[in-house]
Amino acid sequence: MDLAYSEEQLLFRQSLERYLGENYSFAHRRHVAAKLHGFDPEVWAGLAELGCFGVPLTTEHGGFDGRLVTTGLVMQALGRHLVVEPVLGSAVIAGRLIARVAHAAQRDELLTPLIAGTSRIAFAHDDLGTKASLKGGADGYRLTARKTAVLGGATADRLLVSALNAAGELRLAILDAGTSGVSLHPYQLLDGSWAADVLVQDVTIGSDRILGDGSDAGPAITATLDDGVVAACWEAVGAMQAAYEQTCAYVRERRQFDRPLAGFQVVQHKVAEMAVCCEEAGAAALLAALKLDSEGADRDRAVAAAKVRISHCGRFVAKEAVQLHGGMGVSEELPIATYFRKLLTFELMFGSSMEYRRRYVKTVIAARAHEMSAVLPAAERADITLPAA
Amino acid sequence: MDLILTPAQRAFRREVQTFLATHLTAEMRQGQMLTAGVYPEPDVSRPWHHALYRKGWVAPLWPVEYGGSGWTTIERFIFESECALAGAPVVYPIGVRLAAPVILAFGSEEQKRTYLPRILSGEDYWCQGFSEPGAGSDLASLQTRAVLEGDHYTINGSKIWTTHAHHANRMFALVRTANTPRKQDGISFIVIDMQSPGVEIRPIISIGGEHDINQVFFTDVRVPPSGLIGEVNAGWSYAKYLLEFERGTGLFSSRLRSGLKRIERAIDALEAADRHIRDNMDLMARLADVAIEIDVFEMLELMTLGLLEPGQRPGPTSSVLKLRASRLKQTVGELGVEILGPSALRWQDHPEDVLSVIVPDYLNSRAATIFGGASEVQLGIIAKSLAGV
Ligand SMILES: Cc1cc2nc3c(=O)[nH]c(=O)nc-3n(C[C@H](O)[C@H](O)[C@H](O)COP(=O)(O)OP(=O)(O)OC[C@H]3O[C@@H](n4cnc5c(N)ncnc54)[C@H](O)[C@@H]3O)c2cc1C
Repeated sequence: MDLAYSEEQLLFRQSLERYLGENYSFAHRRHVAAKLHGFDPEVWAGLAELGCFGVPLTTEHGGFDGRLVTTGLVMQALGRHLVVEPVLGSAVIAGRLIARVAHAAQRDELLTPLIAGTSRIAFAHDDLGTKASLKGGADGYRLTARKTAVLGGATADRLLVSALNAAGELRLAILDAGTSGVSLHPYQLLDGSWAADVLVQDVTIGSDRILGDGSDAGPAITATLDDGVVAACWEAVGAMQAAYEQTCAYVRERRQFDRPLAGFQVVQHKVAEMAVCCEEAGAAALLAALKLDSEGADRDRAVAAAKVRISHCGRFVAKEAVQLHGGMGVSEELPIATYFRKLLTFELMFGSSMEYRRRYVKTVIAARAHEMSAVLPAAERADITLPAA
Repeated sequence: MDLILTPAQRAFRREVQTFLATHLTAEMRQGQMLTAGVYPEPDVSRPWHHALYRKGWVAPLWPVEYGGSGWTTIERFIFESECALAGAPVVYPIGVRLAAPVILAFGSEEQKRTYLPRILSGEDYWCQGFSEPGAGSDLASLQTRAVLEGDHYTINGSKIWTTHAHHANRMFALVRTANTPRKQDGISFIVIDMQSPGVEIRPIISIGGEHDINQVFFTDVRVPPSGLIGEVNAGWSYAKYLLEFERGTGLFSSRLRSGLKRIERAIDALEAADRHIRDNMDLMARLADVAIEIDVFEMLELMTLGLLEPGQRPGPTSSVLKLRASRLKQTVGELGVEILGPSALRWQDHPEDVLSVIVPDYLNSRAATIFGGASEVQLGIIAKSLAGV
């Protein structure tokens, strides 16, 4: 076991924090969210130069790291600064999905510009049960799909579209966003970032536009969406920490009744509870990332625990941050209201806590895995038995 | 003791129902349904105000000789319940329920004649100028000054969070008229004409994306001495009187229930779009919890206010009602967001229907535990005056 971040990881975090501190003020963020469909090309280039988009990918796939823990550090910093650009959708989800499914030539073609920041890919998956379809054979396919809530879909140049083939297996097709027959309805999300609904109407595509070797993409999609949830967890942790820190600063400074708000014990206890929540959420995110980075881990357990617990802690921190700011917290005068919406967005994204609780029941509790440690790997041999009680 | 309505109360209820059936229009109901804040816009509330005015039903709490409806609290409770359930617009209360009681109790005959009829008819639209950038919970530390210069007061300073100041033609304000050792002893209650030269209004956007609140600046604004209510430097006691009315006489329960009703409509809309909410036992259990809380709150409110004579001060139990109602408002909102689930993520991308209003309304409801005295302050009052500790 090694519970310390490496020197490299810490340096990387530092340089990203510095970059965002200097280039991503709240006023700038507001402008990007309101006026630029959540995408500032200069920031995107800056993040690419720092290496952010290569972090989620292994060196074998042309990336720089490939671990979710390091990806988490990126996401945490983005969360702190409320970055609206679609890093999660493009670099983490689309990037890792392509790495998992595509064959080598496709990987080079798609991931090299993605890492360099010259191409943004959005994963169009959720179709609310309308079942996107891929018909045809060796010399070409016809794709029809109606997708919703495509993260980064508003500004992507390529779309990665999931669809069922005749055999009922999932395939991934890659399309230029400008292809005729593809239409986008962009809209803003609750946190200020942008998504799109995507309509693909009977578009003809070559067989080389289907990712991989023709096997079912379902398992890779499931695994990658789990990665996405964990990355979003880290982003939420970053947002919580920033909201907490800004609240601490505010209650120290804001004076009412001839003393700082921090002079009231009730206020002290509230910020103390917020601190506890931030620590706990950090632990949940770390556990999930470390588990998913290791072979053969119980992904259901790690992901469900993180989503449920961070939602809970995030909700508490968001509410108290707003409450302790008074009128300042429920208006656009300060970033606090935006942190509130960001954390609410996290709760609602990728399914609610109720769904993850059900998942935990169905997989973890049903297997009685919850009787075992969550952090220690499964014991190697079960030949040591305790005397019966 | 019983909950049986007397024949007269039953007849009154019929009368209210009949009135609603004939005077409440579809546009008024739609306007209220789409209101994502505390008060509807004047173009929604005014027509309803006028209808009530013609019937003599605008001001349940005023003495009959000034145009009050002469109801008992039970009748008012019946009236409010029927109006809320029918979806009638909330009557804008700043004039009727806040300014008027103070004018009635402490104003001169001439002030009553000047202000009250125009509040009753809806001709004047008032706003409340209490809070300042430096004086929120600690209201007594307010700094906006009124200096008597010859035949008028000159006002300089700023008020903040002023609801509907941009719609109002009058403001009642607390201003500093003396520097006294005890801050409370140098405050006066004054009426300001919002059209006066030197009044400037800056909009503030709320966490839910609306423009309801403002900052108001005063630069050498002139007010005649006839605008001063009651005694000079006695404004603090009038403000405390007013705040008790603000907190304790609202009859919130019926409006909470109409919030629940709005969620029911959202569920219907989702079911119609094939989202199966009513089969989801987790959500239904949450809905039951919230409905139960409102059931009990209704009795709490009736029990607390039911024996008061009209115009009688509710006392410190007003803080109990304010605390409970504000939290319940947030609970209802939160439930709505959970029920919307992923649809809640779409920001301002719904048609003008019930789904478009649930999320902004929830976000704005975070202010309910802040305005009119933050929860922490209410708890302080409850501890001191009710618990005696
Ligand atoms: C939507 C909205 C509408 C409003 N409309 C009006 C209006 O029309 N007219 C008007 O005059 N005002 C209005 N207000 C102002 C409102 O009354 C103030 O916001 C409120 O009094 C709190 O003051 P503040 O915002 O300065 O917060 P602060 O006083 O700075 O307090 C911030 C937080 O600190 C904590 N706190 C404060 N004091 C204590 C204490 N003693 N003990 C423990 N904790 C404490 C609480 O959590 C509080 O929420 C409105 C506010 C909002 C949000």
